[in-house]
Amino acid sequence: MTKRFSYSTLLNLLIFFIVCSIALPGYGQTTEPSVKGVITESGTGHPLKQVSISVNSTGVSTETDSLGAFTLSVPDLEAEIIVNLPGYNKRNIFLNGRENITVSLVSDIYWSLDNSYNNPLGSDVVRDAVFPVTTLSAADFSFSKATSFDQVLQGRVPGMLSIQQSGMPGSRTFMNIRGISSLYGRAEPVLFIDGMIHDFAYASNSLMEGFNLNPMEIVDIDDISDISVLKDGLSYLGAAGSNGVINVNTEQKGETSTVIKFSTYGGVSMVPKKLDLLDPTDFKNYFIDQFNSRTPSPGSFDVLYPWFNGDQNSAQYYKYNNNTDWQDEIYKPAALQKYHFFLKGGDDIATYNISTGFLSQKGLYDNSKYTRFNLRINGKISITDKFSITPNAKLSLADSYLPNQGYSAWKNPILSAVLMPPTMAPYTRDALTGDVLSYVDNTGIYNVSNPVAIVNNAIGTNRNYNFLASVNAQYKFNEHFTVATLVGLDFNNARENIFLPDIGMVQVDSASNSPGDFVNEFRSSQNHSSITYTTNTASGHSIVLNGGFRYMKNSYKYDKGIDLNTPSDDFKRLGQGSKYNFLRSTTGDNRELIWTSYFGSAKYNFRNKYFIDANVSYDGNSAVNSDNRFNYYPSIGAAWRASSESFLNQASWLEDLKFRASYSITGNMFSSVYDYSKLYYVSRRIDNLGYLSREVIPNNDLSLEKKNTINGGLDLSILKQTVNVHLDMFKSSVNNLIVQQTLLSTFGFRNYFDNGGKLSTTGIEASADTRLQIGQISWTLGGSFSKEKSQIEDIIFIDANTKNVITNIEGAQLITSKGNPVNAFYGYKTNGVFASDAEAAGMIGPKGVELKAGDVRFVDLVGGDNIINEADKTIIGDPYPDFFGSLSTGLSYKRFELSALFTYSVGNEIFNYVRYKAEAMDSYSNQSTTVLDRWTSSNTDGALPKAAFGDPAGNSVFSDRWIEDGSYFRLKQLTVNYTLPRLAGIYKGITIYVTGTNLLTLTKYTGYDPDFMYMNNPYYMGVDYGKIPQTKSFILGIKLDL
Amino acid sequence: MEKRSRITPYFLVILAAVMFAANSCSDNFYEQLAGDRITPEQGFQTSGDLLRSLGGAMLPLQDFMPKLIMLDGLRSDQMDVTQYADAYFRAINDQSFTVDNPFIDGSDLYKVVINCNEILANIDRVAEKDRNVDDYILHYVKGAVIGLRSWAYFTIVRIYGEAAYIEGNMTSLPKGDQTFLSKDVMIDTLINQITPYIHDSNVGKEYIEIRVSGYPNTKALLGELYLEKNDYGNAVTYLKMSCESYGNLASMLKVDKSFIDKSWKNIFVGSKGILTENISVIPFASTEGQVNPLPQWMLYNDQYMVKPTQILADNFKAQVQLKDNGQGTGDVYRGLGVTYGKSDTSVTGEPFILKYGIDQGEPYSTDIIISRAADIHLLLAEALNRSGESASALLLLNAGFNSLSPRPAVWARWNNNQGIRGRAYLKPKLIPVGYAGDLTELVEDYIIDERTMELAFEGKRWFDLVRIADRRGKPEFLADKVAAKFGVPGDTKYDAIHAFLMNPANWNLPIK
Repeated sequence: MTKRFSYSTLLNLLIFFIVCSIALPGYGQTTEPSVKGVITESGTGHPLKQVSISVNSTGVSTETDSLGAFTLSVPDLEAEIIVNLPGYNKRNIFLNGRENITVSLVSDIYWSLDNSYNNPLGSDVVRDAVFPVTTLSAADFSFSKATSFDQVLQGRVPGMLSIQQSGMPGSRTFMNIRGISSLYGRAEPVLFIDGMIHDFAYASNSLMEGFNLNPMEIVDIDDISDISVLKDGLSYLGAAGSNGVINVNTEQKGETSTVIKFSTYGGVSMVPKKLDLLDPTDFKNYFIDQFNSRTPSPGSFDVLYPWFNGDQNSAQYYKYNNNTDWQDEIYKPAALQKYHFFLKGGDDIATYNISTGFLSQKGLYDNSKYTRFNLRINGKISITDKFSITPNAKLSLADSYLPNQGYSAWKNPILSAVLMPPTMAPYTRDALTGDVLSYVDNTGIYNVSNPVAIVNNAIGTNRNYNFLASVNAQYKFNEHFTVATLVGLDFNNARENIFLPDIGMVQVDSASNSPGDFVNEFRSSQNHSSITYTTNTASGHSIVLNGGFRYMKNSYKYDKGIDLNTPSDDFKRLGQGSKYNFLRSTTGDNRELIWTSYFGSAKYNFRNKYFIDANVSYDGNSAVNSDNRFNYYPSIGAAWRASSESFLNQASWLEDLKFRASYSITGNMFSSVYDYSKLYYVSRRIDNLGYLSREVIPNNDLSLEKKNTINGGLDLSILKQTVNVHLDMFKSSVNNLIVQQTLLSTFGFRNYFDNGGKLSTTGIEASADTRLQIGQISWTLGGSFSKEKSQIEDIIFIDANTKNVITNIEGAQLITSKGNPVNAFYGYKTNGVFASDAEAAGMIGPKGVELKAGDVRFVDLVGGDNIINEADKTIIGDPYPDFFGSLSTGLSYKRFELSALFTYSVGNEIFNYVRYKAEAMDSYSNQSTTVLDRWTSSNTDGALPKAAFGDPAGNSVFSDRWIEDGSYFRLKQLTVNYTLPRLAGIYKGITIYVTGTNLLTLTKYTGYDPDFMYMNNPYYMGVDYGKIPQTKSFILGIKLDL
Repeated sequence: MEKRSRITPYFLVILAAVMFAANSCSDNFYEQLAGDRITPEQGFQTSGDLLRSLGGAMLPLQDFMPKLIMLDGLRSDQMDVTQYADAYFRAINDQSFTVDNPFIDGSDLYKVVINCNEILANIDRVAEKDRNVDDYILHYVKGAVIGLRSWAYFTIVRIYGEAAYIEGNMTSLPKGDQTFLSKDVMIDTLINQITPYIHDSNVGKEYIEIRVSGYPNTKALLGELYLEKNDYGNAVTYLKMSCESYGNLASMLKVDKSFIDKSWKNIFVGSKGILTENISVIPFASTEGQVNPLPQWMLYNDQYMVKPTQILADNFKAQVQLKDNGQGTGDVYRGLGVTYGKSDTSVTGEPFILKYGIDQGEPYSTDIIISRAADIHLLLAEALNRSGESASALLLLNAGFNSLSPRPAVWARWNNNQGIRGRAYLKPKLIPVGYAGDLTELVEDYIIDERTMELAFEGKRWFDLVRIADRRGKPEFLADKVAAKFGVPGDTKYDAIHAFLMNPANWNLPIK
């Protein structure tokens, strides 16, 4: 123990030095002064009696009288006193020379500055945070129908963009804190659940288009006690810290007695507002137009389509003469339900928490469903006074049943329902009598899948098993030193099974039907160990030192098999497919990542007035080359509580005013682009022999992208904590942004990645809340505002001919170029439609064809040569919002409570692929009613171009025609709840509530829903391929506390 | 609280120490491979790895050969575009080459070069590890690698007029400008690199050249390099060596009866297995979903973006069959119904290219032949003709050598064979009695005309036209033939294309 003694001696010397230099005014006081004060309740101003007041250093204490007043003798007027009353947030207050203080306490049902937040190193009080942090508590989402916590973060965290992928229950949310920090690396934050890193970004592979499994479902939303979002100062996470941290803690036992809770809800999701599509009459007119536009003409119309003009004797009359509303056919209101049971118990030696949850939510069309079972067990075992063990285990089993939701219209029921002509019928009709038969109809001549066939007969199942377990051992040597180590395993296994039937679905690439299987496995083993030293001196110095290391090994593996052409749609399994091997495909991958990090952090504050936090890590990972593997990541932050200074601390209106400033460096190791730093061989098989070849010129110098952030902020609280404001401004930059280079062909491998760019993000984020209490009515109002802008400051290209990075995604092009935002929509500008041939004379369109009357008037931006080509493309939209956030309000009266959350997003642009499909007028598919105003020889001032089969002129190429303003303002959630009075011996509490979701949306967007994300991949931001929309829903629930 | 356990803090200290130790226990701790890939250290261990890498070095040709065949056909007088052609095919057909056109991207050939260099840089290490790799194996593998690399370079200089010379193993992006060698310098360089690996079968132990699919016949390549620089004597020596004494399997490539008359088309069915005709083949593995795009682009019931020119069809039609006693049915074993087809039998039937649709067993996975016996025999005939042995050249072109045929003095030993036209049962092409013109050029014309039919759509025509036009110093040899696709002199397009092609500098594609 000698060593430890010398260690603390050294620290004490250091502290003594700091004391001498800062705290000299404290010396020389001989008589014991006393302090007087009044304690009131924040909001109402009522005095609080029996509040315990004590001096931290001496332990001398007293209580308030019935008027809330107290007198307490203190060693000096710099002492720290503790104010505590059960049911209210405890306060620690430095007198800072004051002889009279007034303190207002906030009821612990409200969020307060005295709440604590959690970070990967421990917990701290929000009031004293040096780096920007936002916390949420269980009360913020306890009445929600959300299936996992990521779905409730939208708008609540300033600086964090959260977009739920779709209205499919169980769908996950794209989360991004403070903008994009890498073009190819991860954009989402690191998630900690009860101290374990829970990776949720690996699972991007699926057999189903537009589906990502949701690893966040491991924790039941009803088990969560609090969520802290940390936006900066994360250098102790080193190469993992660039995108912020979400720290989720599940509920632990706090009470002494056994607690049994049960909650359940049931409800319904409503069908979406339908798009306006052509009716049979208009569709037939359109069809004739389209037919006539074909050259060479495919034949005589009457011979090809004898049923068209109502000849009931023609063989196909009943098949092609119907009036079907396909949107009505597929969308059905969906039932929602959930059950959750919670048991807490134990004694002072061991405690346990057990909770189970079951959830079943249907999707908006038949056979789409999400069911889940959750189990959580944790506890705390105090083996000695000093040594404790905290085991923690969570298990979830989730089944998703859903079809594709991607751009392939032939397997996406939403797109098919838009494109399938209304003249078709979902079920086959008898050719002679017209009677409706019981089986789905095949596709017919329109080359669109029968949406009913997709929802009824296509299979898309994902079965996801998730297991997260850890044990944390802690030994407290004495009041100063604590050692802790956490060992854990995170395991995820997902199995997918698909089947695309033959009947009713379009054949693609000679495939009639297709079964497929997919197995996905992720495993992460982790160890986090640290030693903490804490000391507080009587003179007001507080120091926390923390040092340790982290180890994480992740492995990710998948196997995928697809078979084609089974004998009939009754055979739905792999191996039943065609005997031709080449129609089958099997693929797989296996990746590993190792990360070790040594970190240290020091937190110092003097009388809660001056704060300095510094942390550093030195870490290495397997992603990059050994030369660039190990890096230092430092950060430092300081805060000054101006309200504690003598010139402000007497102001009764001012509760708290704190200024913060920080600088930090973090890294982003989560990117497969680092593969390009190593020389490797890949294999291709020919004739049962695997051939090895090189695929890259490695960039041995490729280094980890590092982000530097400068942050400035203030926290203000006035009028006894009834008005709180948090404001942050930041600028972050990645000076070694990895950019894809295109090399000259003489280098063989044209793709090359180097640290050739600079990306910066500037932002401002604010949140504010206020409370007003009049009698028994309490009203709250809060909101958040975030405005951030990421932009490419510079890109240096190796090849002089390369000017920017163009990325092609289905239907659209994206550009990343100097001075512009990342991944902006890149295409042509248009200006209406040519009314006559004369107007169009001499114009060459984007497909190299001379434009005519009824073609789109593209804007010839460059050259004035009347030729529309690559040079005329420009930025036509930015999918990132200009600003976004939320407004929330609550009203409570006696036992009633009403709360509402509004979210908004302004200035984000959307590529409306659904409308593009429904307005392209390039095929026989059904179209939107907007095409009624298309150009025809009798409607030469039509707003839309002419119908033209195959779009020979290029009227429907990617252009600003398909870009829309996606701004919206939405009543996201409205809850009314009523709490029954306690019935001793029967129950402790019952709360009944009704929640409505998405009740009102104000937007100009013409698609189903402006709030969606195709995949958790920033490249697909704002690209609407037709996801299941988020619709109105209602739940009625009850929470029992027995 | 009472103490219930004797677990001490040392437990935690030990645990932490174990975790620390784990971090430093191995040098390879951080060497985790991302996905299904292997490092050079893992890749070069045994002789089997060498073969796998050799196969791998030619894999980029799966991407390149379809491009070469389209470039060759559309730039020359063999292919034309249909109304379904996309902008890139149209541009190539019009001799217009913008850098965004993916068909002029030569990076695949440089990939071959870089992969070959990779093998050469590691091959000695394999010899150290695998005792089976003796000097003999080492030598012939190196020869095969250098041969493949030389073929890639030779193709590059014939397309672009110059090549970036990549010295050694490219393990990182080279700093500074690349060294570009002209066609002439490059050909000399390649000859010097190949020659040490060529062995004559008559000299003791013969080195077998590897003839698994893909690898060029190094001897033939050397002969072709000499032919390109008009060194006819050396050209004959090596071209003859390549088909007359092929390794230990002497006289395997002799254009015998294997593919006579209606069997001729079987050359293109399961090509990689046909060792008596096909020397280098790029296979497309149907079982691995590797698709040869040529049938998609060519077949009438698919995209049908290109078609055979009328010139080529007329050439086939003009041939006279021996079997039918000269009744003018045209080249029935190689022409209509084999090399090209027609959408229907009517006069207005649309012609389409059939050569890559012959192999019905593997739809869309037809192999692509780089080099075969007929190609080498015709090159040999061309070299013999220029060496003053026109009579022997005509023998190879027509009915082949038999026991009675006169032999050229220098190269006295010959195997009997069927001859290129003999194999197709076509009437021989002979020098007209009393012909007063340049006999050598006439025979050369015969040979080049034969190549356009025998080797149609196999990526040879443009190189033939360039070689002969260069040799004769007459750009019109090329310009006349290609411009004929666009009409007759006086037509605007004919004149524009003709004028463009009269400048040999325009025969080289821009480097993208």
